[in-house]
Amino acid sequence: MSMTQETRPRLLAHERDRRAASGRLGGLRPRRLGFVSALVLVLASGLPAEGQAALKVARLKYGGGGDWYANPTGIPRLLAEVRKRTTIDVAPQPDTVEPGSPRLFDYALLFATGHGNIVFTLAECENLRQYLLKGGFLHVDDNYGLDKAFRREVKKLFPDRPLVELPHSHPIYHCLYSFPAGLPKIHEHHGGPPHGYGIIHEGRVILFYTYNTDINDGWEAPEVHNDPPELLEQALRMGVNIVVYALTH
Amino acid sequence: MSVTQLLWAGTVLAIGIVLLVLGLRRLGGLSLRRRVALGGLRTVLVILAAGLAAGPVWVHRQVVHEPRPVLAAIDCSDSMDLPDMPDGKTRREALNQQLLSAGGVLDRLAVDREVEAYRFSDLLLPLAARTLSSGGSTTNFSVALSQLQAEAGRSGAGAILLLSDGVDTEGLTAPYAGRAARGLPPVFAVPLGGHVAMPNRVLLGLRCPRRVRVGDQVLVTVLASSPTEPSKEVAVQWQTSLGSAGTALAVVGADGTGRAEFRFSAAKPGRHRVAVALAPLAGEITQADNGQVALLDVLPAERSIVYLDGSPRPEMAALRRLLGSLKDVKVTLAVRKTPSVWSQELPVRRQLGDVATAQGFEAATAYILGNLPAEGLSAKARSVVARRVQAGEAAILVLGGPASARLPAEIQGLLPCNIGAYQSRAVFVAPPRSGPPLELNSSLWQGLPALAGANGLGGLRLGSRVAVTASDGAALVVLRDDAAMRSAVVATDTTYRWILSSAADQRSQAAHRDLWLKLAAWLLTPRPSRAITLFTDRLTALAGDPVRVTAEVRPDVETVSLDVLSNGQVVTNLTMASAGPGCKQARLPVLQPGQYVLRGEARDKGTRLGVDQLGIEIEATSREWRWTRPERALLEAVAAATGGRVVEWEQLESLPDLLPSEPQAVSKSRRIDPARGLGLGLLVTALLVADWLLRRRWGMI
Repeated sequence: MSMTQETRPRLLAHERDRRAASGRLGGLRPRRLGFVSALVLVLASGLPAEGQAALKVARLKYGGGGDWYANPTGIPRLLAEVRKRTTIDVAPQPDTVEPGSPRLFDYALLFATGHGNIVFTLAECENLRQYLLKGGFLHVDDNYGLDKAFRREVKKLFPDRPLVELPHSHPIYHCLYSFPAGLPKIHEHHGGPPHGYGIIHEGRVILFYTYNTDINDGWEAPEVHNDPPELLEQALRMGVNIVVYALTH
Repeated sequence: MSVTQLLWAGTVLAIGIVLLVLGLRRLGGLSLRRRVALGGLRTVLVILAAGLAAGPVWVHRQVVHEPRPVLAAIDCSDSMDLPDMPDGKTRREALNQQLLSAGGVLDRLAVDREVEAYRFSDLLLPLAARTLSSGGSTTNFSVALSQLQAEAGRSGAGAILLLSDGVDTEGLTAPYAGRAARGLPPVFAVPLGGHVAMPNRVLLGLRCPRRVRVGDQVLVTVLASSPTEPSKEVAVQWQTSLGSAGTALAVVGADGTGRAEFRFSAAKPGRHRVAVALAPLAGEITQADNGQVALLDVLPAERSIVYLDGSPRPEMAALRRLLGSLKDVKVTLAVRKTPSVWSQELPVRRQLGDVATAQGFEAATAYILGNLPAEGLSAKARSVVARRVQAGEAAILVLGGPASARLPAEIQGLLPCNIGAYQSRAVFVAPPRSGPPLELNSSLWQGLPALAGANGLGGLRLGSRVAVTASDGAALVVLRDDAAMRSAVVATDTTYRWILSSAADQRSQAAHRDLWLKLAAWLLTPRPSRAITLFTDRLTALAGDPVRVTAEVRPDVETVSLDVLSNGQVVTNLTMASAGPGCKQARLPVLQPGQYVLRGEARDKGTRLGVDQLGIEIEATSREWRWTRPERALLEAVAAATGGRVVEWEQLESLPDLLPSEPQAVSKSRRIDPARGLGLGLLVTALLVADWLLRRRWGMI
């Protein structure tokens, strides 16, 4: 009973996400297309336009058929909170970038989430690996259903580096807000505590994988999941910590 | 016979024949017998005259059996005046008495063989007299051995007698002397001197660390020599420009050397001199080798960087990783993560009420400020940074960023230029000019990924220089070296894009390291408080000695002029030449004995930056007297290389028996040059007189 009740709103939410993602450009009036094209061109150049915030983040548009576009309001809301709560001057909207794109290197921070399959081609693996080893950062959140595919792909990405669980004393849980018990749990799927894993390079976490927490849902607007405000606050605080950690280590 | 001589002979013969023919025509009234007599006489005269013009030479060769000649090469340099031979004689007196006097060793050697005697100091010359006179102020074995090779080849010498103290004042060492002697006949070397120890204190070595940290105890070791004072204590006087001074004692051992140590505290940072001198000894022939000087750099106690950044950002993360790789440098990072909270990154995060309370804030060697607005620094933090940077106790670097244009006025005033507004735009970097102070590797800087933005820089202040520019010429990295103060501005906050680059090669990453590691090294290396520090390695020099003066200078020093003063008057003025980064050198001209002051003046484009001076004494004594002990090793090497041996002075009397004496077939030749003798001339005169007498008798005159 409880599973059915929990799953139904989530499926509705997915449908809403997909429509929102697909309709974002389609809903624009033709006279605005010129401006949008110019903006896209500037963004595509990899360099910010004059007066624009220097720091941009991106959502990873991975292959394999999974819903890479899930939780469309989550990252913008997190970024808004980052701007509000910290001194980080981050662009309010995330860009979208594919793992094989050379534009990957224009972003200091990448987010990925979803519920389904995820596949990196060999070329994408090489590009993403180089990005991470050279100083990039990727946060992947299992939005329920991503875990198996992601663990398979992360072995392709870093065959010689294991995904290790980070202790609760790790700076990522303390760099701005303190989480002595580790990740907050936003939604219950598997039961048990949430886990935070990392790929570590030269002492720095370059890939942070959050499992069994559904933190992305907690970043979304309150009306999407109707979660209690305290839980949403915990999710946002942990999200801010992830951004701060990525930009200070 | 040369072609010229043949031409002369031909000419004389032709003229003679013409005269002969003309003369014979006048003899028509004489009888045939008289004509033949006068004609024959004149023909002989013509032939003799032509022969004289041709210059004939006869060589008479014969083979005799006797010992081959001996060359005696005798050191005649000033060191021969040292009275360290048996009975207190000078080396010169002993040589004159035992070797060169009538009936001496050379005379006895010459009984059954030829002996050619030479004297040498800087040149090898035949010994013209039977006494060894005063020689030269240097000994050059390379030249002497080379000239002996030529003389031995010419004379066919079977042995060489070498009498010397073995001290080469030009620095030739025993192995090289051995090489130079190869090909000589066996050399029998007689070491001179050392029979009576000479009073002579020599400071053989001074070991002093080049760099220490403030508060360190500096240990200096001195190696001294005093052959006449075995088991005695020699006073070693020392003095530093840190204000400390004292006396240490070196106990001289059986080998004539002793070691002394002393310590002093490196109390204050900067460049300092350590001067050490052995107290003079009564009767010491020279004190020029009694002292030495060393330079000592005292660095701050601990090198540390306090890095304050106004916001978490990729540039900060990249820079933090790079600074973390620096050895022996403590990096303290404090980030303004929220407008009201400074966090210091320790093993456990620490919230700071005021960033000035960050660990090590007041002791930092360098401050890095990134994207900090005026309100980001407390009044106390601003005051500490400004005071320490102005005093030269710390350096400062400001990174670009939107907030960097709003730095507090106290900090702005320290910087090399004004920081303008931040513009987000593509900035391509031009390859920098290699050279001081950063010495960037411009080959790494071709085709770097564009930076994503930069502050405009302008209004360069005194002592500033642009180290890196954008391809459009805009300044990107500016450094300031003014008086004791060092500051730098890096106009961008996106050099991390050189690391986070899709380029397959690692060149842009290397360029990032090149820039930041060299900037960090520049920030962490304290600028010498003095613009110039002069030094020579000795306190006293001998007249004619090559004295090199070194000036260690700050990077902002362009030229150094050196005045040599005596009694307050400038004797000469020199421009010191660059001898590497931060170092200029000059060689003093030959100075008359006396006391001089060397005064170096450092300038940058006409602006006087500083003056330093030191005293030096020029002694009249010869360089030959610097080292009084004979250098047996050199003589042994020469003897061994030629198959000879070392003969002690006491064995000198038996030298004729030691030299190879087996008679050998020696080819001797005698040259007879009739044209140069009187005989031929007298014969020509006699023939002319006979011609005249005959003509008179026969009534022709």
